[in-house]
Amino acid sequence: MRYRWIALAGALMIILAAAPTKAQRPDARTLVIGLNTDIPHFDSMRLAGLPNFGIVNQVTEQLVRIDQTGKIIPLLAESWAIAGGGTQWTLSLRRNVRFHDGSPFNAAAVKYNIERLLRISPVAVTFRAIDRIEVVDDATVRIVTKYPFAPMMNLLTYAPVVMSSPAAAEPAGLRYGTPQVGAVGTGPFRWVHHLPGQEIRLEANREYWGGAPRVDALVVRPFVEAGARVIALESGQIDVAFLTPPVEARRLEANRQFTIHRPESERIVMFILNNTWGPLRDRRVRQAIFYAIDRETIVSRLLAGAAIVARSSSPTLAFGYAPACTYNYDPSRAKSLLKNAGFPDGFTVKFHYPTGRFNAGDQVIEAVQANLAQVGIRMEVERMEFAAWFTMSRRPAESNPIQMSVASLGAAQLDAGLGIQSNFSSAAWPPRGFNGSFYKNDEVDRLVDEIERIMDEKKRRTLARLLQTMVCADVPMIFMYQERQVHAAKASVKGLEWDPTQVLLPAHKVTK
Amino acid sequence: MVKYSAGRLIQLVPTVMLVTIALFVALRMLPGDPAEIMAGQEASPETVARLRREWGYDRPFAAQYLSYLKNILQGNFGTSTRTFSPVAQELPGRLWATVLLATVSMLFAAAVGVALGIATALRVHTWVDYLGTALSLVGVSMPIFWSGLLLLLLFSVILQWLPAGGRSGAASLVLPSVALGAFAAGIVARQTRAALLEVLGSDYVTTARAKGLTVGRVVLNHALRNALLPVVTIVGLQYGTMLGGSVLTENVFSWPGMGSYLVESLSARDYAAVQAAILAFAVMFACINLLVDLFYGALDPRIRYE
Repeated sequence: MRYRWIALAGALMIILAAAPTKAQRPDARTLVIGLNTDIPHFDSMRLAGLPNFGIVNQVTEQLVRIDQTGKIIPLLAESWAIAGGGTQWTLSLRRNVRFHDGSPFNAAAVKYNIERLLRISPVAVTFRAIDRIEVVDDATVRIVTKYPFAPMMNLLTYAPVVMSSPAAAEPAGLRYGTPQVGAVGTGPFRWVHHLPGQEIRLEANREYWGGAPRVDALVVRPFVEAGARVIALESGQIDVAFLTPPVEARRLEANRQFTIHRPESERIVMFILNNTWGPLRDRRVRQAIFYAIDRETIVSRLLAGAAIVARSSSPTLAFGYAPACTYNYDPSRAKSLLKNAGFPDGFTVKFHYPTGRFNAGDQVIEAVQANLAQVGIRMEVERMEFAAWFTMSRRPAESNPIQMSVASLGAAQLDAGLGIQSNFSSAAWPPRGFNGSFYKNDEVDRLVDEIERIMDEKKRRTLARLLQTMVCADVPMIFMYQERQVHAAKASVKGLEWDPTQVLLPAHKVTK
Repeated sequence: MVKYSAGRLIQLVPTVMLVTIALFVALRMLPGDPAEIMAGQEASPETVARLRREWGYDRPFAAQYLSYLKNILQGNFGTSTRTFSPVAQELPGRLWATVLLATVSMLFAAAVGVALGIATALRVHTWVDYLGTALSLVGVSMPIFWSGLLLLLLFSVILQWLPAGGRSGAASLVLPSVALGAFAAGIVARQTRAALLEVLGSDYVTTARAKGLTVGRVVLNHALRNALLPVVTIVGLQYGTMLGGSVLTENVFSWPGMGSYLVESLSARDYAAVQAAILAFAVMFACINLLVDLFYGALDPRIRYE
C-alpha cells in the first residue's frame, strides 16, 4: 500500500487537468479564428508579421487603411488636405470617438501616438521625413515633413501606425500591449485577455463608430502546424483558418461547408542575386537565370494556383504598376546569354535557403535547381534557420557570403516609391536597408529620390513606370511570383475581408 | 533518506551553474542576434545598435553573465525580447502545461506498457504475445507528426469526440497524451515482458506457485516486484525525455507548453526566455533522476540511501 501516494498524485493531476478552463466548441455569437502564430503582444508599433496586425488592429485602429484594391480608405482620419508644396498634411479627425477606456480620441492623441511611433518603433526610419506633429484644434492635426513627401498618406496606411489611448499607453511604457497589460484603442473589439500560446479574447465594442459588431466576441487560437489548423476547422473547433496551404484549400473547396478566400496579396517572392559576386555581376547572366526558370509551371503545379507569375518589380496593386519584366521561360535563350557572357558551361552558385518561410518553398527551390541545371548552372542549396540567415543577410557587401537566396518583397504601403526605395536604391544596401542584391544603378538611385518628392501624380506615375522598366532590364533579383493569400472559413461566416498586405479588415460586419 | 536527498539537492547547484554557463556562451555563439530580430527587416543599423544597448547585449559576456546570475538569484529571469513580458511571469504557465502533459502521458505509458508487458509475458509465443509485440512496435515506430495527425483526423474530424488541439480542459489532454505516451508505452511493454520472463523462470516463483498461490498473486506480488526495477529506470528516463522532447507533440496539438515556447523563443534569439526554459529543464531532469533513485529504495528493500 506504499504506492497509494502515487495513485493519489495521479488522480490529483487528472482532476486538475479536468478543471475546465475554456468551453470547447464556439457558440453562435463568438467568432473563433485559428492563426498560424502566437501573437507575441498587442503593441502594433513594435509588432512584426503582417497577419498578426489583422487581429491586433481590431483593437487599435489606424488613421487610414487600404482596401482590397489598394485604395486609401478613411478610418480615424476622415479627410486630408495637402499644403506647403507637400510638406504639410492636415488631417480632419473623426469626431465623438472614444477609446475603450472612455477617454476621447482627438488631435492630442494622434500627436502622442505618432511621436511614440517615432520614438519606439523599429520601423521609425521609414517615417524619417516627418519633422513634427501640430495640434491645430481638437479634431484637426497637421503632419509637417522636412521635405516634400508625396507618399505620406500611403505611409499612414502602414499597419504599425495605430492609435492607442495615451492614458493607457503612457503609464505602461514598454509593457504596453503585453499579455499582462493589454491594449486600449478605438477599434470594433476590446482586448479582454491573452493567454500566451493558448487564447486571445476580444469582446465587441458596442460603441464602435462604424456600428456595433455583429458577433459578441472574437477568440484567436494559435495553430502553428498548418495541417492542425485545417483539422481544427474541419472538426468545427474554429470558424476561420488563416493561411491555409493551397493544396489543402483545393481539397476543402470541394466541401460545401467551407469557403476559401483568396484575396490579392502584394507579397512578391523573389530570388536575391548578389550583384557584386562572380558571374552574377554580369547583367546577361542574371537575365539568363530569369529566362531559365519555368515560373508558369511552378505557379500552376507547385502552388496550386495560389500565386501569379510576377511581371514587374512592383506588385500589381502598387501605384504606377507596369508589367515591365517580360522574361518568359526560354532555356535556349538563357544558354546563348550565358555563352555571350563567357560562361558556355555554366557555373556553380551557392543558394542560402531560409527554410519554412514560403508556401511550398522546398519544392519551388528544387524545381528551380532543376531548371538551372538544364542551362548548366549548378545551384548548391544550403538550408538555414531564419534567425541565422537574417544576420548573414544583413552583413555589408564586403563580408556578405550570400550569392543567391530567397526573400519576399512587400511594398506594404503600395506606393511604388516606398517599395522601390527600400529595395533597389544603393542607399539601402545592407545593413542600411533591404537591397540584399547589392544592386546599384545611379539612374535608379536618382529616380527613387525624385519619385518620393514629386507631388504631381501624373508625373510620379510616369517616373514609377520608368523605374520598373529599368529595374526589369537590370534584373537585380528574380521576381518569381506574387503570392495570393489563402484563407479557409466555414461557409456560414460572412463578411471577412483581407487587405493586400494580409491584414484582416475591421471585422464588425462579420457574421456567423 | 532525507539526508541523502538533501545532499543530492546540494550537488545540484554546481551542475545547474555549469548548465547556465554553457548555455549562456552557446546561445551567444549561435549566429543570429536578438536586437536584429526585434528591429526587423526595415530597421536601420542605428536602431539595431540602440536596441542592443538598451537590452545590454553590447556589454562583455562576463559582465552580462554576472548580472544575469545576480538577477536569477533574486528571482528575476529577465524580460523577453519577443513578448516584452517578464519571463518569470510567462514561464510557470508553460511549465505547468508541459509537466501536466508529460505526467499524464507517462501514467498512460506506464499503465498500458506494464499491462501489455504482463499479458505478453504470461502468454509468451501465443497470438496475445504477437499482437502485443506488434502494438509496441507500432507505438515505438510511428512518428508523432504522423500518428498525431491520424489521431486528430479520427477523433476530432470524423468522430468529433475530442478537440483538435489547443488546451481546453481534460478532453484536450487525451490525444496529445496518447500520442506522446505511445513511444514510452511500447518501450515499457518490451522491457516489462523481458524482465518478467526472466523472473518467472526463477526458483522463488516456482516455490510460490508450489505453495499454492494463484498465478495472479505470484505475478503481481512476487514476480513483478523484481521485474519492475529496470522498468522504473526506463520510465524515469522516458519521463525526462518527454518533458524536454514534447516539442513535436505540442506543435501538432497546439499545446501551449515549454516546447513551443522554447522554439518560438529560440527562433527570435530571445536569450532571457531560452535561458530560463533550459534552466527549468535542467532542474527538472535532475529532480527526476533523484526521484527515480529514491523509488528504487521503495521497490527494493536491499537498496538503502544513507
